[in-house]
Amino acid sequence: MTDRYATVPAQARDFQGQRAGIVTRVAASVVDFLVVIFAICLIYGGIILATFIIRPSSFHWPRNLSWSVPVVYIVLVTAYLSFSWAGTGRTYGGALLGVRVVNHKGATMRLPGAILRAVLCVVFPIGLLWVAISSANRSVQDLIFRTSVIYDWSARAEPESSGQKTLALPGT
Amino acid sequence: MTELGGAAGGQSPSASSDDSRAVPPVVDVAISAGLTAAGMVARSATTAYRLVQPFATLVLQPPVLPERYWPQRGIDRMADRGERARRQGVRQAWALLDDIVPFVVDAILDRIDLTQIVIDRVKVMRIVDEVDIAGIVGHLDFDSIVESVPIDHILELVDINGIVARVNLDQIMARVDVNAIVSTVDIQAIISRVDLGSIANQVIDEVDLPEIIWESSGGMASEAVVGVRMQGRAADERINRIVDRVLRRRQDRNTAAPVDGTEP
Repeated sequence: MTDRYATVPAQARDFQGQRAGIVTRVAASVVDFLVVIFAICLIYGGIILATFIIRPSSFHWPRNLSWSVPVVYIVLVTAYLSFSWAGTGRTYGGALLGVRVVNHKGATMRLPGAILRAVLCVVFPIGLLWVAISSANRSVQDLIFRTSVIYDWSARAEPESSGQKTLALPGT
Repeated sequence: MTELGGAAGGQSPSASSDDSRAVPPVVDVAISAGLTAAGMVARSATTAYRLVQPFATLVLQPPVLPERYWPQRGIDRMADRGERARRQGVRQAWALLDDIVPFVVDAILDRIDLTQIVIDRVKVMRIVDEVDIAGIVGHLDFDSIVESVPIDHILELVDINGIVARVNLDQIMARVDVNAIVSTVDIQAIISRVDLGSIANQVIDEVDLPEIIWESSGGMASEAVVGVRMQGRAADERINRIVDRVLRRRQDRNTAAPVDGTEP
């Protein structure tokens, strides 16, 4: 255990830095999914509200939106995950459950790798379940991109010694 | 070393001369005549002795007689007997004095106030001035005196608790100027001798500072979040064990991740 975890409660310091298990990661993913769904609702609600305000007389409930929802979802999830992982290593769900994504060096991921990992997570989300089977608590995405999702309850987003250029993302 | 004062001072030579003036001149004339006559008798006797001595020697120690028949022998025997009688008389006189003097002195002391006499007539400070106190103190061996004092025995006899109980500490403390005492203390010197660094480290070691920081930080670090995370961690472990048992995995999972640029 390093000084990075000095602010972590004593009963949780022993497993800090170890790869998280399936339950924690699924719970974090569920939280992230709900965050994205909430964001999509805000986007579409904003569009509908704006349409009603601009043309209230000719307003009608938008139709043919179904084709756009998957696209918006994929783009939003990819952007949300990739920027979160490349920024602080944490999504909102990760921050809530106390996990962080690191690369094969233990540092925060670079943005290109984070984008590719996010795309794979969107395309093949079931790959997360490999965590339960893997002897190293790694998902398919982790195996492909040599990443790890570790327990990290510390208040800091990333270690000072990572030397990684980070992206300052408000709210992450 | 007494000195008579008062009436005694009146018996000084000047007073004696006044008394002599009161004596009729005839007395002095008689004394002078007596002394002159005595001197003449003495001189006559001396002269006579010088004249008679050779003849007396011939009479008392005649060379023609054996020594044991000298008249001188008879005189010597008489002198010896007289000497013995004199010595015995002296001894008897001293013995008599030994018996009488204490009685007489006691009788005298009973009839006079000696203390008052000493107070009236003895100049104590003059006596003290004459005493070489420094010399006396210099001859004293204080170490041996102190060692001879049974201090433990004295302390056993002293009721220290009783003495302390009688002391009014509040009144004493009210008289103590604590601020003045503290102002004389070199606090900087004391602080410089204290190893503040080690003390601070000991305090930090005793206090779980990270725990306090963690508890004092808000937001995500609330008790509810910690509870959720701990439950998630416990569920992770439980699932891992079930899966490992199903897969008949004998070795523990390698969950060590790289830390800050180091491969696990």
